Amino acid sequence: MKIAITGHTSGLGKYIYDACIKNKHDVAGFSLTSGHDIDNRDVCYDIIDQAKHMDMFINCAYGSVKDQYVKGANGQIELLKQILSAWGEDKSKFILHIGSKYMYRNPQKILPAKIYTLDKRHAHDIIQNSSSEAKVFNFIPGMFESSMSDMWPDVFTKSKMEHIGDTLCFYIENCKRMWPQEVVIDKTDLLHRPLEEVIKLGSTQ
Amino acid sequence: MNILMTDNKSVLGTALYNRLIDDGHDITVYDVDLNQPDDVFKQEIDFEKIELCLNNKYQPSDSDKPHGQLRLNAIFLDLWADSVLKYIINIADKCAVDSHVYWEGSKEYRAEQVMWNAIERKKSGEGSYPNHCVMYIDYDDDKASVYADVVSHMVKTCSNVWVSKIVLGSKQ
Repeated sequence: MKIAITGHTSGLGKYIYDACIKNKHDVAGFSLTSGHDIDNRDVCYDIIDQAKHMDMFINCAYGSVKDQYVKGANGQIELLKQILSAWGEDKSKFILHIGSKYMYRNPQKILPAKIYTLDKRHAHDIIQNSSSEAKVFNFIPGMFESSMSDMWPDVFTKSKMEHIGDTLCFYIENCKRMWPQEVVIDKTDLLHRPLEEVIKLGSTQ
Repeated sequence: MNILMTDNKSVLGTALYNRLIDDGHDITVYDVDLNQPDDVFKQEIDFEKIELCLNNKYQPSDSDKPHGQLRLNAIFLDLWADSVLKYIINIADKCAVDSHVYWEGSKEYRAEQVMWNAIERKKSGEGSYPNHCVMYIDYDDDKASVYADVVSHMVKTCSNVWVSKIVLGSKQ
């Protein structure tokens, strides 16, 4: 399968990229370190053009966090809009968007976290309201170990990236049999509890 | 893992049962009248022994109370609220998350499925909840083995990653 992925040189994107290569897929990566700044709209058009013959587009990179929130200014959202437009009438295409469970939370007091939350919520709305014929999957992980999750110093329990990545790979490898519309991932029980309470609960099981 | 499931007779229930048995799980089938009072559920189920509830049977309500699948979920949520190693997977109809304009079946049935969305919204807010999942599917017998694969994977990986919501099938 031919797969295009953004953010393939770090974090979850790198994990997925490496796994797809290992699984013998033909993978094209686009990231800031390879010269693709998705906050530049023209770069987004270029990525979409290069991905036009691909089977799957994985919209993983978030882009940079802005100084203030401007609805729709985020690079990942721009790419989402462009890929939905480009592939919207092709039922054979798979689009995988990486969202965040933190879109459900009240926007944080910390400005970067607030912008991130609002962007992820906006992307979710775009997918919900999309009439795309392409198969769109919104993958919504909770907090996991990544540079982005450092924005939430109050959250102490984070899933391991490889566990999130392996789950995502399960759906990628089975895409032709089952392609979800949405998957939300979390250890919901642990997420909002104080560390002492989690340790205490774990030791009593 | 000790798993309680509420149906192993339908095509999907059979596929789920066989897959989980193949995976080496210890299955208790609790296929009862879901319109029975809550107290009967509480008396008959071994909540200590069971680690995962696969709440996969739907039965229409015969009273003003919510349907039994939803009430059974509420009992597990309540009794397992402080248990980090307990898991609940509810199988619901995807009509609950699809636009009503595409729904050609019974309005009452869809209204009962939509109740799951309220549980989801509540769970998405602040607060503490056990490992809880609603799996929305198209009830299509041809997809039973696919759904069994998904549940099998969810159960195998549950201690590391928990799927708290999954919507399978095409968008309507």
